[in-house]
Amino acid sequence: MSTRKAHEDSLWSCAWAKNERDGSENIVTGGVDDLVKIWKWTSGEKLELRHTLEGHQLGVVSVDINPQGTMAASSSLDSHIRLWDVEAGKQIKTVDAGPVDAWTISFSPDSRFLATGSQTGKINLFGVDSGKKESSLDTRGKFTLSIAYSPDGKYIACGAIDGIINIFDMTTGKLLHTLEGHAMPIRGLCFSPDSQLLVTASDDSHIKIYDVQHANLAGTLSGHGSWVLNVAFSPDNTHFVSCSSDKTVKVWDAGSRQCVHTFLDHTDQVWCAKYNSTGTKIVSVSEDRAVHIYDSPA
Amino acid sequence: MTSFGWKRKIGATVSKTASKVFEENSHDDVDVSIASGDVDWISLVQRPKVMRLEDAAAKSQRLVQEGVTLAESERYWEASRKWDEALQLTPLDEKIYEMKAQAYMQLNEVLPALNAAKHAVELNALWWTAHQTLGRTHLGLGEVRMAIKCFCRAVHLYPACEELWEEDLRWAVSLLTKRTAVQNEIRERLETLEQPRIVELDSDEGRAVDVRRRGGPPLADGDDVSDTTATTLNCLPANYIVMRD
Repeated sequence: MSTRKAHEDSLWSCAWAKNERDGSENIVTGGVDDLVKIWKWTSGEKLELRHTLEGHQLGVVSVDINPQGTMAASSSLDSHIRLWDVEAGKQIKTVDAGPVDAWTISFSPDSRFLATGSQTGKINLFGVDSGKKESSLDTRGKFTLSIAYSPDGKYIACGAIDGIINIFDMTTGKLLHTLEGHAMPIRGLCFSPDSQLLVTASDDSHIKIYDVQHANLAGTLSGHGSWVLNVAFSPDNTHFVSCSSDKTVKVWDAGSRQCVHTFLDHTDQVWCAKYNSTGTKIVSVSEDRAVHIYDSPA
Repeated sequence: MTSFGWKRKIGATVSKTASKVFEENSHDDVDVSIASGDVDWISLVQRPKVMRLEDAAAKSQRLVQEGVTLAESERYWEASRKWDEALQLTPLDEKIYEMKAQAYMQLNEVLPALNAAKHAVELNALWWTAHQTLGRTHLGLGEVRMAIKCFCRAVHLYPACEELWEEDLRWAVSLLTKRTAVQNEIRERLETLEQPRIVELDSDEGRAVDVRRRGGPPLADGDDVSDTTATTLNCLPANYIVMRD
């Protein structure tokens, strides 16, 4: 299932969540054309455009949906973060993050905070209700490209443009581990649903799996022919999906560290791929302006 | 009458002995070892008299360097010619196309610059510098919105470059906002100017409005107002670029 021209220009980010209130499956996409679109995945297995959200002045770098599936957030090159009501399709709030203080965004599991990386390497936590910067964590590193909250809310992991990965303990607010496994930009990382594993994607075309508690490298996966742009874990806790500028989307088994399946549907870089809430479907968005939805293998 | 004609056998004039010697000399002397295939042909092949000192890649690299030196001394046409030569040897090198685009921009050759930059992006869509140069060539053509898109892509690929943020993306955005501001101002002014007013033709006010309708100084009777606008348009410099969005 695919929508060939979902946006007028390249797509950079997507998110998929189930709305707990009305049970609808919503997909949010954002890209170069300054727009955020909310799509509904219907029971008839069709993708319907629900809302087109205008407001950003420049390309949308990152989108996320809160775990309850009611609120979407988007960050843009115009350095604003906007919060949207998924059902009504209205803007709830806009946050001026200041020059280059908003890149990849991630909702905390309790939906109270939005974490985002920044130019100076600081991680800023914005209050969802207050719309203000509540606290910040300093990596003392370079530009933070990617960020992820662990599902249990205990950790934040972030990846920098120089390949350094930092893991923060959120109960103490202290830096827990610094991982130096990659030497090239980390464009995506994610935790497993049990918060035990961290998967990282880098421009060196490798994927690495780390044990979060001990910061041990559990495995290095090769298979992509170019930059790995993003990774996302399946709710089944065993599989994860990766997408790359080699135009492919790959599904991996975290236990055996083998590639289970490769989707070759896109015709250009695939910037983002995510699972749905049950792990049965995968969505991917690409530079070729298309949104693809796959049945997840195995 | 007897008809005249040449009726000689081919080879009749060649002396028998000479032809025999020739045949013997040109006869393939089949060596036993060659016939059985026991010969190492590589050692038998004649070596070229001139050794090639550099392969295609090295030669291309040298030409690129020569081009860079020429470009640094602002001899852009010659530089671009050197790079063309280099491209004959390494046609898939996006860096050469990107440099050509920059040289063309210096020469105000906006369309060749755009084409070269586009080629660079096609060859390597993950190289942010190519997107930046493509954006700059778009700006050269006055295509501000296209330029902003290119700069957005470049920043998205490599957000750590301060110059890209400040001098390219923000500047292009400021151009666009300035333009919309000016357009709004013009529209407002036009709206206030061109509102039709009904006045008595015979009254004093009626005559005054007729003369001052363009908002300029009062004109003498018989002066055509449209003439002045025509002359201002003719005064535009030859390399003037109209900004589009």
